[in-house]
Amino acid sequence: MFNSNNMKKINYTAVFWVLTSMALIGGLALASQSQDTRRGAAFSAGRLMLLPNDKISFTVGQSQNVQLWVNSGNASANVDAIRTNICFNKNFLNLNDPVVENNIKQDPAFDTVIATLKDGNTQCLDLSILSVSKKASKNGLFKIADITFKGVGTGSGPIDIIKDKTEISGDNAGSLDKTISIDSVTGTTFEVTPQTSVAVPTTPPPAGTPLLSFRFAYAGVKANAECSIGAKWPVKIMVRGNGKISKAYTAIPTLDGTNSRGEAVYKVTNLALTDFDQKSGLAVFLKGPEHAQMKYGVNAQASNYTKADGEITITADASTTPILDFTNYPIMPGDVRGSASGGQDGIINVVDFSYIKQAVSARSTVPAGGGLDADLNGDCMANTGDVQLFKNSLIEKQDQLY
Amino acid sequence: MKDNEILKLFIPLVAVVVIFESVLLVSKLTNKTPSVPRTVNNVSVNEAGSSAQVSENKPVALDLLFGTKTKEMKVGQSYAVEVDMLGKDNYSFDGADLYVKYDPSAFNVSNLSFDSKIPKPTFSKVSQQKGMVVANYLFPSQNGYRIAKNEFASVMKFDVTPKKLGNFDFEITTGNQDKESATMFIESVTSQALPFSSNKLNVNVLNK
Repeated sequence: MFNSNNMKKINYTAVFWVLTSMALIGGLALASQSQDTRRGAAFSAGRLMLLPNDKISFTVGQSQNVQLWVNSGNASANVDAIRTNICFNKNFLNLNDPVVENNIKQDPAFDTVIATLKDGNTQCLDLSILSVSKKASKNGLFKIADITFKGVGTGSGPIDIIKDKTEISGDNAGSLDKTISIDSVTGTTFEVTPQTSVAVPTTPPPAGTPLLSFRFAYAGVKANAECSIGAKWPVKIMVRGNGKISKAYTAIPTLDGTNSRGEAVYKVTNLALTDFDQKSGLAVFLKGPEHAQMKYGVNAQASNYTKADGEITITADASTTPILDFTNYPIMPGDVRGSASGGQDGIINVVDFSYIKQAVSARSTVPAGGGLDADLNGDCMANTGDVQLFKNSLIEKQDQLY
Repeated sequence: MKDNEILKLFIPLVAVVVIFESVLLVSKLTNKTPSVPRTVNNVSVNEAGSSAQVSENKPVALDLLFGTKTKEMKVGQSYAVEVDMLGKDNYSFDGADLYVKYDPSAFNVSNLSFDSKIPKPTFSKVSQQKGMVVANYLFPSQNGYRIAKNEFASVMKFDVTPKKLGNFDFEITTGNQDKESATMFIESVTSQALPFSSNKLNVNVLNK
């Protein structure tokens, strides 16, 4: 009955049915899986960044806010939570309040903050900001929190966001995906300087050294401006004459009345040009901390000087060297940044405007005597007055150049 | 008979292999890495002379294009030239500096005008002395100026009158050694200069 042919038939038939069943089961299993190949992927690509994104200046004991911004990637990606680690050198910078959560002021759309400090070689703020009881409603680009830091020691360094420890989750209508992937994180940097400056005794200059004295004004800065004084707004000076150029000097000017426009007048007296031996046919170049370089070729100059070199004469005697008057052609503000993260570059352009605009949008302020690079009129805040001053400078400077 | 038996074995085997390969393919799809965005080798803003910081891995944000009815012009006749902008994706700008360089000994440039769809520039000038058409845009509103993907906008128009015979170019400049005259588009919030591409307008001036 069971001959070899029958056995072969049975074997082939059995194999056939087994394989067919496997194929059927496999096909059913595959079909039952979701065909959405994006499953497990994020539904948007987000970014986290600290602003301002260039060097933030502190003095020892001074506190300031650093802004934490989120970009969820698109208008339909609502953020309901973020978690991140923000790290900094605790020898120079720390949180202002010993109670960690007190240093975080979050957007009202988020009702919960969980914050701890993790100590180590670098101190890190482990920060979670959540929307627990409220419906997630923030999307696109928005500021999620202000973090208050304080300068504790002289030095500088980065404030880093750690990408590997950053997560953003959100409500994506119509999908189970909740993850917003982290496209990039951008930190910032800081510098802490001593609270008071120390006077450095100087030796008298050698006999015959030219002495430069002058009065000048910063455009738009009034006499009552509390953040344009002393060491915060030093003036840089260079002198050129007869084919020679001096080195760059830095002087701390003193207040000396006002000009005809009500702008504060500053004075520098008997600056010894120790590396320079020319006394006539001079042009003086002045530049402020947020200002374009200005050329002064004559005493009492009231407009742009276009000739080569200059017509200024000084002496080596403090009693006879003239006090030059540059107050009627104030130094133009606007050269704030050379790039998104760099210092001045000598050009007033749209990069400077973007920096000022950000500071104005953030309503950045500093206490009296503080320093704020976007504060062109020295009133300790970034506002529309600074924007207008910038526009005036841009128009005048471009008209001179082209 | 033998063929029949082989067929009975072969078909299910193929079915299993197909299913196995399909499962492998689907699992590989979930691990697919995103493709690298296209970049343009001649990213103007990042050349020497520009002070703005540009991320070299960022894709081109927009194209600047010259347009004119004819590239063959005659001495003494006036022709309209347009500079247009094409968005490659959705971007928001805080401002833009635009510089068009030309040979002032070859052309008179006049009647500089701007489309009303874009806010008027804060400063604009035709400098015959420097051979430069200048427009500086500042967008102080919080969201800046937005351009959408594939959006086409006319940035500026001017008239050119050839003065002598020859081949001459109009081009978008990216800055000299003093970092002046650098065309740039600054992105809102990040203040980064966005890469852009631009063409040259080559004009052949013929006799009347």
